[in-house]
Amino acid sequence: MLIKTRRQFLKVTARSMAGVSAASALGRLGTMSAYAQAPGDYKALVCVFLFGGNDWNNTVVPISTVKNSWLDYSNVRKQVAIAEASLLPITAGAETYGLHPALGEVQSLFNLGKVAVVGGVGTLAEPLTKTEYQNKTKKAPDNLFSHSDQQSQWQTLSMLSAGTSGWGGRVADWVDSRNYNVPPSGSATPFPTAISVAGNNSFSTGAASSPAMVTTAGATKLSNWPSTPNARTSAFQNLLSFDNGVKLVQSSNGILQAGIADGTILDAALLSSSFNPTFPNTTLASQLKMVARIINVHGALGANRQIFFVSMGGYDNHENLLNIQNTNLGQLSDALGAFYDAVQSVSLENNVTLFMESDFSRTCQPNANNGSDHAWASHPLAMGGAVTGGVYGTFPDLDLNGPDDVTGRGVYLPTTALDQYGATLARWFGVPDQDLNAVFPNLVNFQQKYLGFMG
Amino acid sequence: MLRSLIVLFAFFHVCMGSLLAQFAITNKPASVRAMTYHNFTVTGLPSGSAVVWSVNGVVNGNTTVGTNSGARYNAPNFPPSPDTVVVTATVNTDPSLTDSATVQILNPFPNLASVSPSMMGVGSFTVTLNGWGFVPGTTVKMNGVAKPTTYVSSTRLTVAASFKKIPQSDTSFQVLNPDPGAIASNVLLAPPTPKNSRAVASDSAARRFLEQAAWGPDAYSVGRVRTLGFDKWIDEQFDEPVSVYQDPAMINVSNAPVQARFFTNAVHGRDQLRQRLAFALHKIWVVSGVDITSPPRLIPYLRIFPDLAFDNYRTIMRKVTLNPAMGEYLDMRNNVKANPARGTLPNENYGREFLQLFTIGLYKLNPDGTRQLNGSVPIPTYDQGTIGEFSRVFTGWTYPVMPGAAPRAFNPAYYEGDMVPWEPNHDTGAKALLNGTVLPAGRSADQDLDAALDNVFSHTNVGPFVGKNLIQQLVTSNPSPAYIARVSAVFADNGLGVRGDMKAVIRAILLDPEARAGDEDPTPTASDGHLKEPVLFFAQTLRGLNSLVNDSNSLPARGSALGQNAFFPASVFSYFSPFFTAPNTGGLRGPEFQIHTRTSAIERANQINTLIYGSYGGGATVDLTTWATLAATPSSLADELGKVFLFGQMPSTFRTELLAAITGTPGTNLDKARAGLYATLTSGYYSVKK
Repeated sequence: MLIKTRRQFLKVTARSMAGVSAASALGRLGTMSAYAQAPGDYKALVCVFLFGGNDWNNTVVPISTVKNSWLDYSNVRKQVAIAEASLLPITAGAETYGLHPALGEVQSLFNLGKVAVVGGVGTLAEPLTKTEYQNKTKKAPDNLFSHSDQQSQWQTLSMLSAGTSGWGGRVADWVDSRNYNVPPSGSATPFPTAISVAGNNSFSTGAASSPAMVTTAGATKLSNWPSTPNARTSAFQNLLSFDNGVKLVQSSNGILQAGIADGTILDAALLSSSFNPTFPNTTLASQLKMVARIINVHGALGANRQIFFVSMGGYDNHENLLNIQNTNLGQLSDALGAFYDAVQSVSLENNVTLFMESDFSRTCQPNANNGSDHAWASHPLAMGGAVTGGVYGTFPDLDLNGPDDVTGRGVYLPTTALDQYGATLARWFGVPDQDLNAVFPNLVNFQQKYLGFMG
Repeated sequence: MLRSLIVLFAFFHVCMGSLLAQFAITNKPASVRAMTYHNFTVTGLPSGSAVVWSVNGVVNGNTTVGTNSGARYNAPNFPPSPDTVVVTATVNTDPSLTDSATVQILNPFPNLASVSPSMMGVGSFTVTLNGWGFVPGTTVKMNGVAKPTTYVSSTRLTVAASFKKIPQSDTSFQVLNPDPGAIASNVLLAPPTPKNSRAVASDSAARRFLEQAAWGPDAYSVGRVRTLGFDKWIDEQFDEPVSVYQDPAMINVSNAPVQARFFTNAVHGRDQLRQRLAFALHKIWVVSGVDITSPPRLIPYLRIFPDLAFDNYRTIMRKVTLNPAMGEYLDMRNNVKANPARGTLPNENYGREFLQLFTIGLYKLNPDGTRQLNGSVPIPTYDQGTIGEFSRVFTGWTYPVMPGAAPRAFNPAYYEGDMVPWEPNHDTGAKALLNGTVLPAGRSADQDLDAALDNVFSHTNVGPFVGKNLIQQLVTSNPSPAYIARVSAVFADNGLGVRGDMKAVIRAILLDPEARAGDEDPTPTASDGHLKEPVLFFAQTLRGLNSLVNDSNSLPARGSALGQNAFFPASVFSYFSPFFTAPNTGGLRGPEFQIHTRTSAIERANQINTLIYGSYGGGATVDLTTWATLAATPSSLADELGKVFLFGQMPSTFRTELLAAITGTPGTNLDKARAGLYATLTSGYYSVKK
């Protein structure tokens, strides 16, 4: 047996069956590819949103860096500090960071050069200094520290609370404007470029386009639906276009119509392959498994570019941070490892980039209940074969009331704008420089447009 | 020296002897009631050993004889035959150490949830009683007289009733379980059927009103509204007794039975307005079963809202703030003042969400709900500094003291009653709150709490913030500013100088001209209506179909399939946001649309398909016979569908499609009726109230 994947290398005997099914799936993929416009150029972005505000301070910990030692970190974190010996070290030049002990799969991928850590990313409308923030001489994003507003800002990049379209959806609008995706068999229009496996969200909703929805169970179709229309189904169809002037009725009808169309196409596409990769049985892993299955049949869907949204909750750890985050990040790490392997098994690991978002980071100083409260700058990760692994961005100095702490509780000013993080991903996806400002409204205010982690 | 050693040894031996007492169960009840549990305790367990529990020789028992979860013995749902069981504790490292308790299992506590028909009229008919904990020997008492009773299932009984004329007063129903452990249920009252000649509201107006003020119309509620009119019906509802949740001790393990009871109450409970308000308040003051995982923790929280739905908002603010489940959900219990040695500050969780989600929101509001602006920029109500101050207010509280326990700084988890202060953990410094109010230093936890609640309650945002939210939940997603202003004026002053009077606010919301416009006029405006959230969609549909629902219903899972798992919202941000914009509406709010995705929309149609062409199982049954009878005359069926589900306002184009579905469907009248029901109930027109 040819050992070609990371996982096969690690677990060659345990997973021999998975290898066989992957090989047969590959064969089918070859047939599918005939439908796609430019199969070699297929690209997918996968946004993993960690709802509640992940504590990034304990996700990527400085062990020995220019700004901080582990001792500096533990002096602030006190009883929510992670012991130096249990951290999973990663090195970037002369600096050593430690990944959270539950992130074993992520460390393994980092060591293969497939993971980028981006330090100090946050919601910013323009470059901002601590003094400017504290003296309110420049506008900070609205409602920092509010879950709903910061989730919206990470997803829409509107630094006001009222963002309407998401940046994933705007990238989808751009893809659609280029006709990169073609109508699949049986459809007059392309399958939606943005696909959510985690319900409605701002990220996937464009100014022009709306995302397809899929559940972890697969395509959703109408039950009791005969292949030839009858009186009941005809009345149902006709009532879908019934208009009594009430906009919410139209809205509801439109959603159902779109769902029926998507479900039919997706069902046929998923049935075209028996690809059934192994994933852990967690909410996030089940979502990522569905993403992998859809990526595998992108040819049948006529898709050349796809943008996925998946999510995981439980990160609002105002208490018992160490235990709860350990469980959460363990599930995250295992799901990411399985996803990388699944995509690699169909030879698309260089075509798929996964990246993380979360409401905000959390106060480095703990609260009364061994938890942490809402803060600002985050250290998200990107993963994939196209990622140039390493540590990017600028991590904050962790000292309370130090140069980067804006409130005295370890709430760090971002050094890197979310727009720069997103633009780096979108440029890899194919959005050209001249079109990026339409997707990333704050990018124009930052001199450096790309962070380098996508080559 | 030797002598003293011998004395010491003897003393030591005595001590060890008493420490290592004979292994035994120390509390052996003579009986345990079915569906409840008993926590056994043992003595003399050797260190490093564990107890293996068994029932009638089966390790950890089974559902027939009861199960063990550790030292907790969970009695079965019904007495086994014979009705005694032997619970045995054995030491795993030394099976010779063993002790047993012989326990009689008593019949369960019976509970009556609903009676059908819900009103007593003239004639001889069968009365169906739905509830839970019935056994084959259960007897129904009607007006205090035992009646021959047919046992259908543990959740359903029937008796025969006969009335020569409409009863003068309510008919009472109660059920009695026999020995072992004979015990009576709660009492349900069935009122006389109303006389149509006295109607003061039209049928269609009553039904439309009940979509807003109840879980949709059923025959009983339509009768009451028509007889009393809107205003007096609201008065009657204020006095209706609360539909109860279970005794937490009787349903341990999971919250699933609590969710099922919610639907039983919603479909059959008489206190419809109270229940709608209670659910609306739960959606504002969110505690989620995702974290609060068992009935003893969740039920005391859930009881707050039916109990206080018609009280004052200020009372609700204090009661929920001090509820132990809320204390646990948002970390206010065991929150402690800053501790420099540990490097900690007070937990900000409750302080932030209390302001953002429960009371005033992020931006200063005008009384009409619009944002106050500085130029074009909305004005925030508070900043991070304010959150820090409120977080200091909410310090020094811990769980209520468990009966028999001594108060401690951090009491063990206990969920009955209000949280209690532990002053040394309270931050006694001065605190700068809203509107320039400064609480002086040196006050107790309770003094600070009440002063802070007063400070927030008096903020001008509370009326428009809470008022608009309740309007959106009950009436329309897009109320006009004038409507909100009228409701917030009543919130500010009920006419007698009282602020926050919920009875006055509810009356203002439901009787406002904007809510009542459309009762008789089938011409809607473009921004009308709101999407029925899944729990309302199911409850209203089942009430319209005269469904019989009991506590074994599968409705929680069905709601979950549509994106709303009752009492399990994903976060404190509830099931959906009041600010969510419905797609393709030019910016109209549509909160419920946040969970109405392309897939859940299909699932909604499929749930109707299951109900009409399949079954929801024994927990929610429907009998389509009367609909099939109507289908013999398609126009009659269309009329009845329009009356029951579209409050008599079916547009003619809709009716044309519906008639085509009915007449074009081959087969029996039941087949035609099903086609008509399917087309009506899957329509966007039905899903969006107008």
